[in-house]
Amino acid sequence: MVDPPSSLSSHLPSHKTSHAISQRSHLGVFFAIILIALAALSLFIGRYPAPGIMNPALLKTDPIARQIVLNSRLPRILGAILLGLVLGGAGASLQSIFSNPLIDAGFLGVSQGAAFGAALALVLGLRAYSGIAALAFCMAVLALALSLWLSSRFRYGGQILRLVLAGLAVSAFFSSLLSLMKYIADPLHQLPDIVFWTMGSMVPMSWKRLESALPIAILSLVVLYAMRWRINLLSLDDAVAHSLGVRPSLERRIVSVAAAAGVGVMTAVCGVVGWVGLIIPQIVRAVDGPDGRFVVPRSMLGGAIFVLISDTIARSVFSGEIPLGIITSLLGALSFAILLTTRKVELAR
Amino acid sequence: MNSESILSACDISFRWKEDQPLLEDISLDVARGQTLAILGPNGAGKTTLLSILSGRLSPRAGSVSLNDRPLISYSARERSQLIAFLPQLEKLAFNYRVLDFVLMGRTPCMEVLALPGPKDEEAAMQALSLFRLDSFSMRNIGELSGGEFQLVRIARCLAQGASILILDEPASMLDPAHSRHIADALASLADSGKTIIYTTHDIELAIFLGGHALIISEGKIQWIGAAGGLVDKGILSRAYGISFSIKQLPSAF
Repeated sequence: MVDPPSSLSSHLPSHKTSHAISQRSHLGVFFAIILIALAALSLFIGRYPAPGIMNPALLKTDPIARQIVLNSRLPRILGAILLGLVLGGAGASLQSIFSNPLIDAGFLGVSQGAAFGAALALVLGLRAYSGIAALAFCMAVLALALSLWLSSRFRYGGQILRLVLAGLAVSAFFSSLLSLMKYIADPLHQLPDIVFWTMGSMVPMSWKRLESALPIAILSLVVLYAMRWRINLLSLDDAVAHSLGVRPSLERRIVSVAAAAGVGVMTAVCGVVGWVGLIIPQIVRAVDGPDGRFVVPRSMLGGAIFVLISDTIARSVFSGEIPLGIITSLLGALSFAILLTTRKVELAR
Repeated sequence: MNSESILSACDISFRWKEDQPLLEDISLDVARGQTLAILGPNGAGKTTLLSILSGRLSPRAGSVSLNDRPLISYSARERSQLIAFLPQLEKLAFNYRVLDFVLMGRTPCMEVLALPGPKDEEAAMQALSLFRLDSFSMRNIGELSGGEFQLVRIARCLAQGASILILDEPASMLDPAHSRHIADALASLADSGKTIIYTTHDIELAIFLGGHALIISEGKIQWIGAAGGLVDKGILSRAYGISFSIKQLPSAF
């Protein structure tokens, strides 16, 4: 408790330092209810037995309907929720700790590294999905390690600038390797697979793949959630964070690795899904302010809603599946433009 | 070593480049409850000295002790419970609410992954109320003037609960009213027993706040004594390399 300096307190009006308990919107509760309702509704949206909403009573009478809902749509919906939770939480955390609201969840080259890994697996002729996902994840981790190592070798700028520059360089490096894979890929068999994978999709999601991604994704979410107050401190100047007992370099790395691991593992399974980690934290901050205590969990929930809606559109609106990344990019770009034109996105100082 | 000293530096030297020494053999003792102004020309090493005293930088030679124990032996958390540091400038990427911003100062009083609770909110509000800023608590930082923001930053240091405040030019770039307001606030904090070490270019402020003062120039302490001694033109002329005169002009102090 602060001891009031006597001469100052004597100037004060008869102010009672009552609790200024945070007045927050109920966005978190609202998001949670919406997410549960959407997930339940999405289970019955699709093209079986006819395009539209399935009658839930069919689950009792139609074994095919039961099979589709429980073994196809349910893991896919849970996968979409997990992907959205990770992308939203990672985006919000990375934007805060690097004091840059325009950083994406694939920052530090993670998305491009995973994309190259998957393309390499396809060019090498690996057909098993586990092989593709494993190589994608390995390359995502390699990209992260390269970014961190490169930033430590730079002799220019502060820690944040070095990491941003290293992330840019590593992203560009893996992006060019991805182009090389496309160039040398068999145009009839391998190239379409690479292109489809780099556009992101929940089609490959199954119970088995969900289980394989779950441990790292959950660990990533737990770390980001646990660090949500420290994330505020990391958004301050390093000198201030240091004065508050934070070790900025170490704690930034913990958050970066947790975010990149989650994004890496989900990208390995679902392909590259853009814009979620960029746009959702922006929307949450516009409603609720930038406090990490609220921005991180609400960005997770908002990301899950966004991906779930996008995936439901991707699999149900047209007779053929639309890659998820196309829908999220389209909706994300539109939302970003609307946000910037209708709401003043301001930096504090 | 002074037996009452809370923070002391012994023969500390620092250089960013091998051939460019910035601080050389600086020794000083700061007593508990003392106010110490650090003056000197631009580039003299004032901010570097504050960074060393606050534990952010390690000296190339010499040592810093806090409560007769090497500062380097304190954990980051232990140190932050005893020393609050305010840098001269602070850029914010996000438009935090004033209360949340001051609440961040409570972090050293909380468990490592804990969230601030009602007691922390009360302490943050109390720190704001000491500067008559409690009505600002629900505003956003971006709505504050430069002077108000500076007071909020000092309130965050106060909320930290540390007994030593190290402030880098706390009253710079402010209008006379806000400079005076901050000077009054610092004087009250000094009266309440806080140890305050600050840098300034404002000789009037140093004399107004009293306590002790030292002048750094060319990497060395050129003068140290009671702050009232800064009225000596000769001391200032030697440190800054220009002539000084004493005139009766409007002053906020």
